[in-house]
Amino acid sequence: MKKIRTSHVYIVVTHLLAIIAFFTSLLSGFRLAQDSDFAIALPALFMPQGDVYFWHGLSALCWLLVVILYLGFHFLRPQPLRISPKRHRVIHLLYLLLALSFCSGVLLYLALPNLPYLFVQFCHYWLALLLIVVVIWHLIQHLQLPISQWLKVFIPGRQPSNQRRYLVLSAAAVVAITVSYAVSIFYPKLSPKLVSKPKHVAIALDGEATEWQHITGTDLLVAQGAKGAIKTVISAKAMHDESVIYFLFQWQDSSENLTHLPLIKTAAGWQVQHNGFGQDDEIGNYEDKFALMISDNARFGAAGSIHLGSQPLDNAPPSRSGRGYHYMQQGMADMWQWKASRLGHMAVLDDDHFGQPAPVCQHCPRYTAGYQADPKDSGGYRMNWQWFSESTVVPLRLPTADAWQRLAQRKRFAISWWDTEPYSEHLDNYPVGTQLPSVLWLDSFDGDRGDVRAKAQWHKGTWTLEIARDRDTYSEFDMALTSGVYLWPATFDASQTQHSYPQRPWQLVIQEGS
Amino acid sequence: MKALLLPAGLTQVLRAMTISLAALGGLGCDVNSHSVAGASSRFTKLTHQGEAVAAKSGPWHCVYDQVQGLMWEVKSVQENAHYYKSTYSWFLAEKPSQRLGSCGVGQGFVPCHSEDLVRLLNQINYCGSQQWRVPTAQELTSLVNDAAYPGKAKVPAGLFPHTVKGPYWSSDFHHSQITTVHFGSGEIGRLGPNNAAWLRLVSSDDSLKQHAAIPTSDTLH
Ligand code: HEM
Ligand code: HEM
Ligand code: HEM
Repeated sequence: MKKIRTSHVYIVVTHLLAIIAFFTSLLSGFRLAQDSDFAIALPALFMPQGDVYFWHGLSALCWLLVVILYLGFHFLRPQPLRISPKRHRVIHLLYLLLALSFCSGVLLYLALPNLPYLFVQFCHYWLALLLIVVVIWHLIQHLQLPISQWLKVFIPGRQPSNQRRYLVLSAAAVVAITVSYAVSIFYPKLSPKLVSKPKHVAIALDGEATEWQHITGTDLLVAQGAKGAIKTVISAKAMHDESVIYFLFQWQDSSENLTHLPLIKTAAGWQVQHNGFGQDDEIGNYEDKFALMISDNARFGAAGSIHLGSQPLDNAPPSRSGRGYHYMQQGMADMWQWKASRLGHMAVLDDDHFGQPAPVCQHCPRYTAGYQADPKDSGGYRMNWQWFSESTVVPLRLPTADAWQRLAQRKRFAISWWDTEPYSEHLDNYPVGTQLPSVLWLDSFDGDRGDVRAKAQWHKGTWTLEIARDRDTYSEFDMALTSGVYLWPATFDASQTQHSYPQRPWQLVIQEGS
Repeated sequence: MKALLLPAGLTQVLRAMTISLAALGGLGCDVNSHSVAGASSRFTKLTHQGEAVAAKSGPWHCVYDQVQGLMWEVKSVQENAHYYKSTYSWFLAEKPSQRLGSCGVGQGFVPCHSEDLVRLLNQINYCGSQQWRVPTAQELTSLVNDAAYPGKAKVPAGLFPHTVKGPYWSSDFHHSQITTVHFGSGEIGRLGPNNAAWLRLVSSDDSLKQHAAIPTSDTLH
């Protein structure tokens, strides 16, 4: 009988691991690319849905293991690979592209503030496509050979007993596994820190940074968002006293967007000026927003809360934007959403959370899975239509005669509920072209949803947002702000759901004492 | 061949793993079949003329419950006869003019009791019915949705958006106390007729049977 050809067990393991890591990185990466303008549209089959960040993260760890194993083997293996120079060229190309993918991936993950993030992301994507070509080339080259010649890479052979080398190799394996394990467990420790200092001055919540001059801040890069192409740096500062913690966030935004889905009178009736709102993906006719998520873990993909794809959750309605759902598998993440117009009349933001997916609602147009507002009894704002439709709508309220003047003087195109009366056809004698605000301001939130105070101002291309919240609200929908929690900021530039986000969060450190 | 099979296979594996992770996380998120929100054809939205509205569309003003054969009033944010925050005292035949609630009437608020709303809805033939009345405690309890999202009013999701998390009157009267159903806690309580509580009227008009046959298509708009 002919002897079966085999390879060194190290080659077999490393090669198999590389194959698994490659397909996991590639497929999860295809889904991650869904919001990138430059990405090529692919059939759903090649784009896994759900917690793909987790799989991309896992594959990244797998690559780390491959690198360590490979380096270990490279220096220890008994003899060089006996491959033809032609095949070797392709393998060298594979090494090069894999190394570049790995490095660019790590750069993206670390996302240091001065990284040309979008360029690196573009390279990371095209490297992935190049890799496909080279891997196929590698396959073709090998599969042309007799089966015994390529099957050996999957069949571990018995090695001549050489105790010393065996020991060294085992040690290398242990090191590799330990390092990967340590990275996976301790990478939160590598998170950038947001240090909160004891407060010595009174803080007026006015969206001005005057009280914050002597505090040192920390920067975090956020990227993506509407039209797939922004990169901005958010700077943060924090102060606290025994019961309250204060935050200052500043980020660049060339324009102050305060207009929110205005209504316009047409010959057919009132229309909402929109561009994607029917699919939960409004871009353009929307106010600026800022969100801060607070989680107890720093897992890849917004603490594991983002599940991408048009149907990431079985037995739930598809995501109308086709982009995905925020929800937690277990536990919850607190989430605050500052809204430039809808809450512009008060010093408050919208206190929301990402919880487990809500029960499926047969009668609701939009399902939001785990993204839910904290409970309120009343207050906040209301949209000025009886029911949203892409064609025409019937307004809920019309401004009273003297309210128009107040509206004209206001920066925000929004109106107080108390300045309006119920819509009726006989009051609606406005000429075609009239604009009506869609935002109806109510009084303060009554309930958990109003737990966070906030005020912002836009000045010369920068938003300055001040936030204050009790360190603990004792609400089941909020997280206590203690040292160790993670803070994930996101900016929404005139968009409803497309937002920038960071790869890694800040970790909050509350510096007690004076 | 291998290269083609692997991606497909892995997609399946990834998806299966994500789903099983989701299952581990307790995402059996279909509301169980006993609860009000789950049954697909139990409720139909109706306009104020009594015409059916597709499940995910609107606006709607009444909700028909196929299982109970009941039509429910849907409240409104406008400060009119259907204002969701209007409160009512319970109507006592021996004290017909005792009005201790506060009801929106378009222009301002007036004192009111439960019978005022009953009369008004019947008078305007609301949602095509003239048999509006205060529901029995048993009817009112049939609306309680224990699977509602935490912190939300315990009513079937998406059908009664303006529901106060407080006690609603029933018609059950025992020893000068009226049974109420609290839509914040889902619990049954008792109140004297002089209290101000919330009110959602019901109709069990025979002519409503026509709605039992209405298909509820999920047309999005
Ligand atoms: C062969 C290996 C890899 C392949 C084929 C791959 C592929 C991809 C692809 C296609 C994307 C989408 C790019 C876009 O958004 O347009 C992506 C994103 C990303 N990858 Fe990789 N990747 C690999 C390795 C890694 C490694 C080792 C890391 C290290 C942590 C990493 C981290 C990231 C990050 C942080 C993103 C950005 C995700 C986002 O859009 O938010 N990747 N990858
Ligand atoms: C699934 C199909 C694959 C087959 C049948 C296959 C086959 C082989 C064979 C036979 C060799 C040994 C070359 C020799 O000793 O003559 C080899 C080496 C190699 N393969 Fe693959 N391969 C596959 C997939 C991949 C993938 C997906 C990657 C990485 C993305 C990869 C990366 C490599 C590398 C880097 C080497 C060189 C190993 C070294 O220097 O020791 N292979 N492959
Ligand atoms: C890896 C990071 C993240 C990704 C890939 C991501 C992705 C998404 C996607 C696809 C949606 C659209 C869902 C829909 O169409 O309904 C969305 C919505 C949203 N995301 Fe994220 N997200 C991430 C992190 C965050 C973080 C850190 C926050 C909060 C600070 C956040 C806050 C929100 C909010 C508030 C919405 C809903 C907006 C609305 O409908 O009004 N996201 N996100």
